[in-house]
Amino acid sequence: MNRKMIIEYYHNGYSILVPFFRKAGQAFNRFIIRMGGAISRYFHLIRRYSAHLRSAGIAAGITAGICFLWFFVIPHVMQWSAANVLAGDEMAPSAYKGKIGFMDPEKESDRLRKKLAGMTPNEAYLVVNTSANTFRLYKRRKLIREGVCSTGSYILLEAHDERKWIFSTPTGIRRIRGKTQSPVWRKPDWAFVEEGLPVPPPGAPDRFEYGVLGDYALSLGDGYLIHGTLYKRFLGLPVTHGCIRMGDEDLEAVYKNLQVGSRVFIY
Amino acid sequence: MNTGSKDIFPKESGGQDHSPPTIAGFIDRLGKTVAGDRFLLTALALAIVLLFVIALIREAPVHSGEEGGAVSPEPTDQETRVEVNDSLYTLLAEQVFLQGRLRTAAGDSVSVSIDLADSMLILELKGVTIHECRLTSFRMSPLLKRAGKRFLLEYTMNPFRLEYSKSTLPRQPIMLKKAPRDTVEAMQTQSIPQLAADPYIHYIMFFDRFLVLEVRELLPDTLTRKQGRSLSIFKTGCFAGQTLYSLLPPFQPPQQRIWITLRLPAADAKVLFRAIPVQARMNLRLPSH
Repeated sequence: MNRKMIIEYYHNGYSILVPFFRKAGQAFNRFIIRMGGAISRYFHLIRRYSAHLRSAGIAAGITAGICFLWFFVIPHVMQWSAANVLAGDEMAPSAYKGKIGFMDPEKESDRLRKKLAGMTPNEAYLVVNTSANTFRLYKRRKLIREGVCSTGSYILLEAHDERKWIFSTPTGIRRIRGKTQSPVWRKPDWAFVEEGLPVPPPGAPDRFEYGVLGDYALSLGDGYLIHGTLYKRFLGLPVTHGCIRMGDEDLEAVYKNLQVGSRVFIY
Repeated sequence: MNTGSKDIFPKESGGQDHSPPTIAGFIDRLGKTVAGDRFLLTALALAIVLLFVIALIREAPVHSGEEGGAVSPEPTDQETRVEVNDSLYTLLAEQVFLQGRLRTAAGDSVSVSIDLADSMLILELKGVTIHECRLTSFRMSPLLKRAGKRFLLEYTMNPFRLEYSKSTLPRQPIMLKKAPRDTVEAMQTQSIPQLAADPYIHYIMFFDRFLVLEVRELLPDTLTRKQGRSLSIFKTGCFAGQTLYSLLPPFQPPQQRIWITLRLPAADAKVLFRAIPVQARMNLRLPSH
């Protein structure tokens, strides 16, 4: 942009834009010409391979048609035809003796509902969700406490001597085998292997660690415990070696409510 | 001037052919005609496929729920028949559902109870409800929507057994860790636990009696609708594998699957898949239509 152009601009506002439009127009023309060439080449290719393309199209069409019939039409037609065959709301009660109670269905449902409800323990029990790392404590069939906990990390630890451990919390029903206050952790072999330390002999003083399991511990058998933790920031995450870790207050509530023999449902 | 008739009217283009007609010649000419007309060829192929499909549908067995111990007795004329209306069906279906739950409670493993009438999903262990959640939405096979109430009751009378499942989620998220050689290496590897992000949860469980249960998590905000649709490839892949298998001899029509699709919140979908055992048992309560 030179002085002359600026003067022209003030004299006749739009004239300064003309060269820009001209340039833009030329660029657009060049673009169209190039695109035209590309399109014509594309059509040339289509013409050249038209026979093959048509065959491929027919083959693709037939395949698509078969797939459509196979996956959509046939299953639906079969279901609709089967539904017509299976239509009918009449039942002969005598044929279902001992399987469906036709006489007083409402009363029968009530009886079954009570029977099912009777399977839920009246005493305190704990439900642990290992997927969400949460727990629920029930007493007299009512929820009295719920919160976060930590369960097994699913880490498979491979030692250099080919020994392996998988850190998962066992699922199913367990019972409380024992209760301890101020528990002491007797470190198993994997605790040393995981820390890169030599494994001491059984009963060695190095095996015992104080104060790391919180104030209480409830044994579930096979070495699995419900206990406290020093690493409270990890509560709610799957980080344990198979035990169930809880916060101090939750652990206290669980310890006070669950008795030896109480059920723990882990899923 | 005789230019020769064979130049103007060649034999192939309308001239009289005095050679005796043969079957090979006829087939050759028919082949040339058909090959020249691709439209005819396509129509012929489609007609063959259509005829084949019709034949398959006519020959397809109709599943009557007799497998898995469900009774399907035909009442004799002397027996009293009861017309199961909607209110009676609701009571009977609940009764059957409760009976099934009591039966699965006898086992030691986690069982699933799906109550489509109340849109509830319940996980039970020894009859104790350990997890309960509400279904966000569900869809059913046309057969379940249209079949009679007698069939629906008989079909759900006994618990279903899981045969196998396919999932985008691993059942056990096992991570391999090599033990460190010394304390220095152990210190280097110790850090805040890195948890793998869960994939989009989508699984298909194949039960006995041709029941297929598909479970999907609600589409998270991080995924667009288009991405969600593309995940259907997983389902198609599962069914395609089976269908291809059925194409092998002895040739069979596609199986008459009765499917139910559930939409659940991600956490509940994950819990359901991880909690149930490999051969889980399932109770189903179907709504009246």
